Amino acid sequence: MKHLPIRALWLAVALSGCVHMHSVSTTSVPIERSEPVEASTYRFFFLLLNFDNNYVDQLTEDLAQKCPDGSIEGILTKQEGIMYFPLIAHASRVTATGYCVRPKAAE
Amino acid sequence: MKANLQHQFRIRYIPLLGSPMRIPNRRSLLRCCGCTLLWGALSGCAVLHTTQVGEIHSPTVLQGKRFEIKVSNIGFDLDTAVAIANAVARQSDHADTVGAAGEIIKLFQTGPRTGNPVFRDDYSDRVFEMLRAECPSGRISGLVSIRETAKYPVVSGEIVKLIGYCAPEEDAP
Repeated sequence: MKHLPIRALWLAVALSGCVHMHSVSTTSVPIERSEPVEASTYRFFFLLLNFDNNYVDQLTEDLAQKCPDGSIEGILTKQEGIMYFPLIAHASRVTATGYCVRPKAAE
Repeated sequence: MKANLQHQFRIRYIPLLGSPMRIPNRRSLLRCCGCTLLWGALSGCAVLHTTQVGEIHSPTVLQGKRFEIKVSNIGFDLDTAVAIANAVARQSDHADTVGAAGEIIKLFQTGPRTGNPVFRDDYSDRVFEMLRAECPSGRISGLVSIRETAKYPVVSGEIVKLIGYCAPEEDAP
């Protein structure tokens, strides 16, 4: 019974998980920033096993589909590593956010 | 085959559940774990270091031609190599010498890095020529730069991958 607080603390630490930032990059930010768009991709790793990184490949197309007739500028790409439980459960998430810039109508 | 399986898995009675349950014995569990580890080590693990998405012209990405460029070089995992060399040298009492040699080599490899050290780092310089060959019009959009590692025992593949979309001349942004 006297070890209960310590055990509860360990359990809380083990179940809360951690997020690590692996990389961040950005492109030039446009003046027109009224329409933000976002796309992300995610993969769960059991026992840290991962045999390819193809889950990132669709990110550009996902983002383009959010603004099909314009350009996306000011893209902030963020790559995170998530640890749910040491060694057993991990994940990786790549998020890209930007601004949809539509072509101006001819005056 | 059936007799062999019965030999590997003992049938134990669990009173709480009230029904017999097959529990693998320690030897077969160890064999199972060993096979899983061997399979994991030999098949290689992919590690994603950095991802960067360039500016996107959506019509080019959605209607253009997708291409992928990959360049790689062999990386060398010094820690694993030293551990293996140590295990071998222990037989001949040279483990300390091998460990010291590993530490000296590490002194020449300081600073931030992604993946394992490679013998030449100019392998990624030729991506510009490869981009030109993939998209002669030069109208490239949605370029994603990926730096990844394919890990194997002792060695690794240090990969730089580019995924992009090429617009035909008439649809150029």
